[in-house]
Parts: sequence; structure tokens; C-alpha cells
Amino acid sequence: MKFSIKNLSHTYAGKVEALRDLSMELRSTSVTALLGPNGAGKSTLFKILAGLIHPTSGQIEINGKLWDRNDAKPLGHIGFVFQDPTVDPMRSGQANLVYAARLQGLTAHQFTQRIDELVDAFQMDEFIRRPVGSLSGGQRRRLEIARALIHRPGWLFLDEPSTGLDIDNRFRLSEHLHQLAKSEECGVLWCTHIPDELRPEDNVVIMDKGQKVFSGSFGSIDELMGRYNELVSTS
Amino acid sequence: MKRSPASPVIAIFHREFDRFVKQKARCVSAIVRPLLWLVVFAAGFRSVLGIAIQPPYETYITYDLYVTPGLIGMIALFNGMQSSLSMVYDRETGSMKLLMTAPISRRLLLVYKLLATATISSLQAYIFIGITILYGVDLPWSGLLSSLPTIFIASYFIALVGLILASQVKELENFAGVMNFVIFPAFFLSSALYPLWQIQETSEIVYQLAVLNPFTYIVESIRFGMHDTPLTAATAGLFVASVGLSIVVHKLFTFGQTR
Repeated sequence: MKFSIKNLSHTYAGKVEALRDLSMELRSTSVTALLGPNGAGKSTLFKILAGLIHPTSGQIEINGKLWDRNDAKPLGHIGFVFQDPTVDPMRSGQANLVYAARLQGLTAHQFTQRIDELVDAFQMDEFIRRPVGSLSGGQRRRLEIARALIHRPGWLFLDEPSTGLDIDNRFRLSEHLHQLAKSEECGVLWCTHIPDELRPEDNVVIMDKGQKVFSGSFGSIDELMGRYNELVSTS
Repeated sequence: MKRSPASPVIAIFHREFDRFVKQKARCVSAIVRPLLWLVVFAAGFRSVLGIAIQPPYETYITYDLYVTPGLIGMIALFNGMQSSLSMVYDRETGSMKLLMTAPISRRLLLVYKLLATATISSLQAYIFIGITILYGVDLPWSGLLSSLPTIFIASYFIALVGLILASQVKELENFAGVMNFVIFPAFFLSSALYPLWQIQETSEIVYQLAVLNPFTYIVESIRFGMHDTPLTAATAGLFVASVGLSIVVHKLFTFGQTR
């Protein structure tokens, strides 16, 4: 499965250039980290991928086929985790999962077992029946990631999922996401500005001022941090 | 994995019902509000205000019978607007993003949402009708069935108008103000409480405003529907307006999205 972003540009209100001619390819069953400082264009890219805004120019291809953004079907191959919480605080974790599964077109027969699997995998047994409003930040995040995986997507896109989590929960989340890429066989696109959440085998794309300034493997944290700081300061 | 087109419909209907039932104050006030008007307001006016013979009534009627269709319209008006308010809430809490990233056309999402709202409004209306019958309002039994299409279409239309308002309001606080500027003028400047001819005798300006007010046609459609005339020019007009407005909304509805 191939997911390609080709020459994507976006200008807000005709003035602020948030993305400039961005191209990249996502690898399936591995983690691609999108690194960059605030204002680098990561969230704009994420919004375009989610279909929340329309790019000024450029295109997205899935398995070599152009994704016509008026066609909602390809969204069924993607799971999204947004930076801000998007779970319904008035309903239980279970109800949120069922709701997401049904929106994806799954029947009760298809999602019942899947929910059990995800509850086990994300250790949500103790809180899954509680209203989401009463859950901690870490529990909500686990629920949101589980929800994004309910339909077994080919790609999982996460926009700074560790925002608001303490160090323990951040590392646990990182551990989980790397396992997921293997166990769920999905490609993970992970927007972050915290490089220490990544692993040597991860693919890294560094963005600054709406442009790709580096693309390659993670290597070592020191090497990456050095390169990251150098690129961000010079660009 | 094979996907069922019925599942998203169930999801949206279930959420709307779940939310309505969980918001206990909303659930209770939906019935108590019109009931107060019926029991307190209409009881006071019953002896003061006689309603002359006018279609669809074939004889002199009591004021509580006259005001009931207006109160059913009030139920649809409040529920339609509150449902739109929930859309603004969804946008603020981020729940809307889940809908926007579901593999369903946004046009269909809107239709499902409007149908769910109209269904809840209709259910509330029928609970209220049941209570009015127990209270002693002399509604024709046959009107219970013949008014169903009208109540449903009227509820859909109001939800649609609410949706247009919600799309223009960016913050929850502002929407409360919009509701006050929509619900109260719509209700009071209509034939819900007094017949148009009586309004005209008092004020020509108010009468003209009531004639221009779409809610007048909603109330009159329900009134005729409850008296065995399910299809009037007003009902047909509402239906055409609902379809027309839906098409316009689907074309223009952006919420900043691409579909």
C-alpha cells in the first residue's frame, strides 16, 4: 500500500503560506515521523489529509491512484487521531467506539469482537464503560487511538498525540504506536515536535516554514537533533 | 471488510437519541414548556378569547384547541434549534472532526442528522399530543395520523434553518443569542397564539410580519393536518421549501471542508 503526497501547497486566506510544494511518500507497516517547530505546517498538512481543508494545489495518491477529495471512500482506509480531544465527553468509551465503528459502516457483528480486541490491546477494561468526561488525559488518548483503529485502517495519522501527556504516558504511547505499525500492519504518520519519542528505525521528515527540509532515517537521536536544530535555524 | 450503508444512519440516530435522553433538563423542558403554555396561558385566555369559525374548524372552538398546533410548532422550533446548538457544541469539542473524517458523503451526513432531529421533534410532539388529550383538549383522533407528515416535514424544515444558523455561528455563546432572536420572534409573530385576522384587527404591521413569517405556515400546516387535511398549500410549500433549501445548503454548506 502506497500513500503519496505530491507538490502540496496551501495558502491561508491568500496570504499566509502554510505549505510549500511538499512531497513525500509514506511507508506501510512503519512509522514516519513528521518533525518541525510550531508553525512548520504539520497541522495544516494533517487537516488537508483529513479533508478538513482543501489544498491550494497539489495532489494525494493512494496506491498510485489520484484521490479525488469529493470521494469519501478512501477515508475508510485511514484512522485519524487529532491533537485536541475529539471524543464525546457525554458518552462512555464503549459508546464512542461503537459510534466510530458504525460511522465507518461496520455492523455489530463486525465490530463487537474488534472492540474487545482493542480494549485488551490498550488496557482499557477498567474505564471503557465510564463517561469519557471522567477519564484522565492518558486514558482518553488510548481511547482515541483505539477508536482510530476500529476499522483496521491501512494508515494511522496522528497529530501530536502526546500533547498534554506526562513523560511516562508519552513513552508508553510511543511504545504502543511502534508495536501497532507491526501488529496492525498499518503505516503510521506521526506529527510531533518531540524527537525523543522516535526510534532509530523510523523514517523522519523534518518540516520548517511549510517546506520539507530533511527526509531520511532517524539514525541516532544526537545526530538527528543536531541536524534538526541546524536545519531549523538556517532555513 | 464489507461496509453497511445502514450503519452510519444507525450511528447518527442513536447518538441524537442518546444525547436527547441524557440531557434530562432538555428532555423534560421539551414537554413542560408547551404544557405550561397550555395549562396556564390557554386556561386564562379560554374564557376571554373565543375563536370564531374559520377553516379548518367547522364550529366555535375553545382557545386550548386553537393553541395546540402552535405549541406543537413550538416543540419543533425548540428541538430544531437545540439540535443545531449541539452541532456548534460538536464543533467546539472536536466531535465534528470524527464525522468529517468518516467515509460518508457530507451531504448524506447532513440529511441523516436532519432526519434524526425531525424524528425526535415528531416523537416529542406526539408525547405532547397524548398529554393534551389526557388534559381534555378535544383533538380529532383521525388527526393524529393525518398530522404526522406535516409535523415531520415542519420539524425537518426548522432543523434545516437551525443548521444554516449553526454554520454561521462560530461560538457556543453566540448561538444562545441567535436562538433568542429566532425562536421568540418566530413564535410570537405567527398565528400560533392568535388567528391572523385577529392580529390584523390590532396591528397591520404585525399582521404583515406574521404573513411573511414561515413559522405561520408551519403552524397552519399542523393545524390543518390535525383536522384531517394533511395536504394543504402551506404543507406543499413547506415540503418544496425543505427540498429546495436542502439542495442550496448541500451546495453551499462548507464548514471549511471539501465535500
